[in-house]
Amino acid sequence: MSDAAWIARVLDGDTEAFSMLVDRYDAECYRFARHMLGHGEDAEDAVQETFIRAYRALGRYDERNTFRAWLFRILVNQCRSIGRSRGRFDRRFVHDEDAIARAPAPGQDGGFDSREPLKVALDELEPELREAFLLKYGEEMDYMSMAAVTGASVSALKMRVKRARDRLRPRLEGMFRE
Amino acid sequence: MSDSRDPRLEQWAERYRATARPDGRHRERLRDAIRSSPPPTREPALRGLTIRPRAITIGWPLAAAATAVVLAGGIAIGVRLAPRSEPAPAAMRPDAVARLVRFELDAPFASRVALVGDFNGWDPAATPMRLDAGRGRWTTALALQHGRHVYAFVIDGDRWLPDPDAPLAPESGFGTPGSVVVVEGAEPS
Repeated sequence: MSDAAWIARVLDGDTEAFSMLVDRYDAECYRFARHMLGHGEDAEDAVQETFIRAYRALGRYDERNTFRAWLFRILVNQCRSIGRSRGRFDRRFVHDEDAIARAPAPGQDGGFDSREPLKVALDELEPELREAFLLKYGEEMDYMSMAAVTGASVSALKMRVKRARDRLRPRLEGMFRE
Repeated sequence: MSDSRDPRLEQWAERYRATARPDGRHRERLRDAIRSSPPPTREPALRGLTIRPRAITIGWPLAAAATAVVLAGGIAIGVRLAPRSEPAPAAMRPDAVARLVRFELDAPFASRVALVGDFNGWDPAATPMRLDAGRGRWTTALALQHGRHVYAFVIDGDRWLPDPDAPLAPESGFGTPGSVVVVEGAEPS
């Protein structure tokens, strides 16, 4: 059943139908928030608040937007708010080559290894670069959708993605030279 | 690294999408939160106007009175304004294609709410919002030119609030956060 059909059922009074939308988007909301905030509990809070806000605002949802883009707009806002208020965007990891070299192979921790070099490099990016990179290459959004989600212009987003890639290039090359 | 087809990026993306959701009580907490929220309802006044945008040429006073379209976040009905003898608001050029955008804020305990933005000089006196007391919702509709606009709400004259349902913008020159609305449409020829 399409997103629009589930939304219609919720608005017709079948509020439990909202759980179908949660099932559909929960994982990708979590992975974005987890990579954006770098903190499991914060990511949980961001996703929780996103779905609550989406539920409450469902009557204002416009079908000309995709539900996914609409949901991600709320999620991006939540990640920004939590990131600022909890100081997550003030962190800067000290890059320790020896520690990374001694760390176990990536792929542990449910596919999320905070010691993975690229993960470390992503955490070191400015939040707006990380956000653009995750939306573009992680969530495979086109630039128009990204503009609607982030509020930034397409040209600004392209520049952010390019800057993120340039900064991550050395880590990507090292990561796959195994 | 050239584009998204770079195999290194593809491999990273595969790992990214394999990020596992940890088991926990998060679904129960979400279910409880939703059950304790009032059920959402359709906005009947808006639905019929949001099927497809149409460019309608009408005079400016009618545009100001026309019913609005969806929440601020970029979707609006197209309304092409015909030049009139009355001066257009400061946000409008006489030859500009405009869109009506509806702004809403749920603030049942506020005494007054104003819309401020780059389209009205960030003046809290310029665009007071109207209260639907039954729903605790403040609303207004404004014709905006095509393009990107930054705005916020001012609560009771002194508290600035970005739109909780819209993308955040980089902080304005006043040091307070704003929200972004993108008004779509072709530039006038």
